[in-house]
Amino acid sequence: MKPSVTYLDHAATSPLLPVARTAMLEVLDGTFGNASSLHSPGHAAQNIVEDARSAVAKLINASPEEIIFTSGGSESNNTVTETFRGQKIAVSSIEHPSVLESSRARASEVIELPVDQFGRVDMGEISHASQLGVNLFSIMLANNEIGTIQPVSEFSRALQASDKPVYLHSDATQALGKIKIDVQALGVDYLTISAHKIGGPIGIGALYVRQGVPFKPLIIGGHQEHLRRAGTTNTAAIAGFGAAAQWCWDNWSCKKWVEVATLRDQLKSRILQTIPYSSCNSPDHGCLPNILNMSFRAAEGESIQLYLDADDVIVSTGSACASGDLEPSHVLMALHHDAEIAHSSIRFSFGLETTPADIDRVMSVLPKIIARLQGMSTIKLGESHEKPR
Amino acid sequence: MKNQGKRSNEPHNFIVAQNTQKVNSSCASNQSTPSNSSPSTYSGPSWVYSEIVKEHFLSPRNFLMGDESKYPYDAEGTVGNPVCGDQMRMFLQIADGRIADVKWKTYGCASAIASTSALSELVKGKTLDEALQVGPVEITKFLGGLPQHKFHCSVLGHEALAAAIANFRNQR
Ligand SMILES: Cc1ncc(COP(=O)(O)O)c(C=O)c1O
Ligand code: FES
Repeated sequence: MKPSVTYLDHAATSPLLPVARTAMLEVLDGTFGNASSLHSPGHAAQNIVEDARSAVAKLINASPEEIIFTSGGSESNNTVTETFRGQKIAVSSIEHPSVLESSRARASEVIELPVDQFGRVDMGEISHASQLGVNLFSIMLANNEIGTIQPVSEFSRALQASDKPVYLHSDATQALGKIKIDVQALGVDYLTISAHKIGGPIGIGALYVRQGVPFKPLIIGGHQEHLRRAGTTNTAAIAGFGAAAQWCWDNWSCKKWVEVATLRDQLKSRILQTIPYSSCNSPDHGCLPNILNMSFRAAEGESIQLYLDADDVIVSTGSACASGDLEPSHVLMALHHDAEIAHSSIRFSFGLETTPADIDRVMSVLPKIIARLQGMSTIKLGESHEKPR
Repeated sequence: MKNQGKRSNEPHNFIVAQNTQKVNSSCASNQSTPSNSSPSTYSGPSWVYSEIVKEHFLSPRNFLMGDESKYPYDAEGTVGNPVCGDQMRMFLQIADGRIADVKWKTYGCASAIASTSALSELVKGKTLDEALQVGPVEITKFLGGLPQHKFHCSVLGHEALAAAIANFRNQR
């Protein structure tokens, strides 16, 4: 990365940790065996895979047998919905598309649970849905666009109290490494994680499957992963994932992220103080430390994003023009039911290497960009602003 | 671009597809890492858009900053809807049947801004009929192509201009 670039899109993907790179290169340069083969190179590869499995399991307090390596968060989520094909699935309305769309494609019925203005699912909705014969609840641990953390352990307790057999999946792709994850304490049956959000490589992830719960492989035709996921083992990527997980464990990454939250909060208050008609879409409490989602009324998200890009500040947007057959962020729509807020939204997502200078950098360019876009906008500010429903 | 005469009857898709290909391929080569640098080197921001789009986006021409009441216009046209993520407005000063001056406001994406900016340059000084000949295809061509899903941004620009011209003609 160019040193002059302020990269605030870590929630999209984060840079590869040096330890992950080293671990991968060791495999690519040296250990080329097929981890399923009985010969010694195969055995060496298998050892690497099992070490990584242990590191990943430890990070979420699971046992290694409960970890299935997949190609990433999307595949893990799809594997869970495939397991519940033809059954009733309840999801939060702000799940990642790999949960939302794969549930819609496979479930006999999908119940989309509404969220409040902070993106939280109400406990009452969970209890209510559990009376409707839902087989699987899929509630993400933390949202990728706004950072909201769901009280998943409270949900699991409520579901355990229900008299019907019901399973709980949580997509923890964004939460991994940022907040402490303990599958026992959370009480989940399935948990999705992905390497590239914690400094591991893209294209590798895992699904935690509690012992004894239903499971149906998504990819069949091979005995790998104990018949739970066919396909020649991606040893190098798994080694990178394992190294990144181990790094998070060794470095108490969750504690480091608390410092990042301070920077995040600084950016938030500086924006709110400096930029007229700005508002925050991320919750004040119960939010991931690294995500800040803001809206700038009358300024369109893609334009903000690309003006920032021209100034070497990299962010993402929840805007998508309906004329281009795209929908604005379903997450922001579920929160505010206001397309203008969604079209004017920017997500800043921080990394462990983000510094106060990066925040200064954003604030040296963003106010001017917003002022210009608001000035050229067809939307008049200050007018009473009826929310479109 | 000037005096193209009759509006081209060529199918829009053909021109757009050609342009899109060009844009896409240059985009792909921007994104791939140059072979002489190490794999971890970030090759700088890569743009989905052509250099001309980028230039018009970064330095838009003729946009109206703030309140339009300070700009004495003869006609105005608005298309789109902020709820859909795009809205464009064209303001025309018309003298002797020609567009003497043009200003615009846009709530929309980068190619919407670039399209309105380009259009404002293309139609200044033209008669109203000549200006109406400047369609999405001409705007897109002028911009060096737009990605396929961004073609409608140039359509909006054309429609806003057409609405402003209709507004002027209806006044009389
Ligand atoms: C919440 C969430 N779930 C799933 C995914 C998909 O993960 P992957 O990119 O590994 O398929 C992402 C990442 O984009 C995510 O943010
Ligand atoms: S105006 Fe719709 S994407 Fe450009």
